Amino acid sequence: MPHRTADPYRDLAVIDARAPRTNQAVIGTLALVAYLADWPWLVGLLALQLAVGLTLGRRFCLPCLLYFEVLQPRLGEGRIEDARPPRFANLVGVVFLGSATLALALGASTIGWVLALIVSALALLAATTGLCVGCEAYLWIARLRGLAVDRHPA
Amino acid sequence: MDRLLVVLAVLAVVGAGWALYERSRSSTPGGPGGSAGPDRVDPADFGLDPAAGGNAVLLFTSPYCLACAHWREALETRGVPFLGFDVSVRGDLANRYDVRSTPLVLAVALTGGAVLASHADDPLPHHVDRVASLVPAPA
Repeated sequence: MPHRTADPYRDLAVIDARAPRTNQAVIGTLALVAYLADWPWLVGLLALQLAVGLTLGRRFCLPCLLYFEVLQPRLGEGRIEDARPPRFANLVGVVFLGSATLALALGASTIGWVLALIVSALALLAATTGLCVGCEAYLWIARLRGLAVDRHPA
Repeated sequence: MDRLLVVLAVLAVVGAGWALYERSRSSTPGGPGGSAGPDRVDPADFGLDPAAGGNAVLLFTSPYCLACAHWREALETRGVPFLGFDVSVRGDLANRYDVRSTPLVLAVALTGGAVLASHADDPLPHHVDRVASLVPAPA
């Protein structure tokens, strides 16, 4: 296995930048699949998966495991970046997907799917370009609050 | 069928966003291989004396930034004098000059504060050469 400068399960202040992009690709794609197949339960599952990863850690985040256990050993380590912005973006994702699930469950399917498709579009945009709107929101808020921000070139 | 159209529309939006993003990255300072950062700085903000004349190198860094360490090492190896600023400590400077990523290396003219060169990626040899030519090592 190529050398890692950051242990994904111990060095939680930082993260390989490709890991959030893997997560975004999975979330974005599956949210689209959920809409296409009319599977509201999948939206709930995605929200739950994001929430579990945020609360229990990267070992419980399936896309993270896919990256750290399958892809990273083959591709090598990507750029190491501050973990806080992508974590905040995941939190935003939980709120949107959770609200979408609630709306779908209550019969407000238009609102529910619009929320899910917003997440899908933003996640796929982040996965393809690296432009993570949730991360940018975190940086903006951090600046307003005067917090230290550590970010590498996009 | 309607759902398929919506999905295609979402993908089209993502594709358009990707295209716009790539275009902006390649056409604006800070894009791949390009420069970044402000056009001008006030040397006094960095404790530099504008009356001293000549040029100076400013290196903005942050914790966990490997490329920052590489720049530091490259400049030290070449004997290029520089001032380093950790943006997690000097958020005031980062905010004032809109430093949104690290590393950010600026070669500035002390008189007038014009930025003569700026780099925001790994220290490519020709970028280090450019900076070293503007601020040569002391004799």
